[in-house]
Amino acid sequence: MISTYLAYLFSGLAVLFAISTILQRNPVYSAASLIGVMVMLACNYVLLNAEFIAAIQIIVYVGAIMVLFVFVIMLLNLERAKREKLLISRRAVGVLLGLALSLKLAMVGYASKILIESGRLKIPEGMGSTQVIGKYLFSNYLLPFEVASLVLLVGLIGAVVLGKREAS
Amino acid sequence: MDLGMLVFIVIKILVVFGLVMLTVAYLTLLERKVLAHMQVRVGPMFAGPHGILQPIADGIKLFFKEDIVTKQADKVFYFLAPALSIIPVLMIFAVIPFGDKTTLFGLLKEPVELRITGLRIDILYVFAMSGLATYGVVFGGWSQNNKYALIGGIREAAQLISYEVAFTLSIFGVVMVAGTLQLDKIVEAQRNVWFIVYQPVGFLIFLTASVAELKRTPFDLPEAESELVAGFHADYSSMKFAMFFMAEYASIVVCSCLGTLLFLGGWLGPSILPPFVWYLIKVFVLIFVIIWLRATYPRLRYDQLMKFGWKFLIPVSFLNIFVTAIVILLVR
Repeated sequence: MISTYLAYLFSGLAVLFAISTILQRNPVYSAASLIGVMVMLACNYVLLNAEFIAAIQIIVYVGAIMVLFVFVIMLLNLERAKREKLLISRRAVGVLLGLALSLKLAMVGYASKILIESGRLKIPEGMGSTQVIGKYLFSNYLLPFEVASLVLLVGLIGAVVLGKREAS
Repeated sequence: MDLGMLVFIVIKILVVFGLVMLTVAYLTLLERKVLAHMQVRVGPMFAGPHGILQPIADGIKLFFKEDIVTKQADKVFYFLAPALSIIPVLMIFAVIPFGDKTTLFGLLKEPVELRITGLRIDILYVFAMSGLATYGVVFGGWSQNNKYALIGGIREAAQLISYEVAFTLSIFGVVMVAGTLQLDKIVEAQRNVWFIVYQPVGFLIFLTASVAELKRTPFDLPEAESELVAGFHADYSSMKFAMFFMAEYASIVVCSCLGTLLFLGGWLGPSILPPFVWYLIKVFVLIFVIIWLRATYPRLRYDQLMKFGWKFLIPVSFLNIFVTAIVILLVR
């Protein structure tokens, strides 16, 4: 019962932080709001009994990626961003992409609800525990897992290439 | 959940919080005394016999000092940063066990665990909280709008990203040998042999990376006094300044507890002493080593720090995991 209220609280705060991320003019405030979004999502994962995902969410996004973001913002010492007039076409593209993403998420959520209720998609015993997730990553979902790491590797090499070119 | 359970949990939290705060206060005295004697001085002598009341005097002094907020400071983060640095560290103590299950000399009917709570993913929780602890220093350095503090904050961010990798990887060796992420089960797995025997390289990496995460000499570049006039907390005064220091000393306690639990067999030891005493002895040995390092080594240069982290510590910790995995596969 109380967890339902908590879920609404965390989700509401996540949305507020997300809005604040795009409305803040000061980049450090934006980054801090984004950190808030990540932490609130992690809180919701805990409510869903997925402690492993929650911990990984904080370690990867808050503990590593956002530190890098803040580091770069501070290193470049970005002043308050001037609110630029965006072109209508750019805004349209942004709105379309946002709508498409929301639609996709809603579809995935709805489809998995139907699949689980009809019993075609079985949730494995003890899902959310580290052992089960590890076993699935290295057996059933080995290919997507390896492809994801390849994509990351490509990104890494790309960053090195771009950085080197600028230096020479 | 009935009222009795709730009261019991609150009591546990208050006891742990009180003990940690007391230890933190007296760590400042311990550090000053140990450093003084290593440098052939006597250290604080006047507040009480051999300066034993010095932490209390310091506390009162800091509490009544004027709280200065500079004009150019970013008010929101200036106030938030000290809290952001100490809260995650204190939250780590929620999962740190302090001893085996006990009935408190027969006072309680059922044995209780000497910890606030246990999770299925204790170690990941510790990593998550130590990742959050970065932001206190980073935002604190930025919020003062002061170039020394800003450089301190930037250095902290870069240093933590670099050494957190090695810190995390060094612990994974232990997790692989024990086969669990729960701290109490890791201690139980060391009943025959302490993991420092199986993971000597892991222990050295853990110790080095901890000292770097604690921002202590030789890795104290974020607050390098001689070049950055105290770095990220240059403008802070009064209790806000004290909170940064409390966070730092509480982190020393956390790292020593983790080192004890993961590598030194936790509360296990010959039964001439109760488990809790063994645990305290090991924790204070590690704390002493960390203070000892400060008296021994000069500060690194910044490029040396980065090179050491990325080109030596991280490859060695990957190698450690690789060798551990192969040995586990061969043995089983």
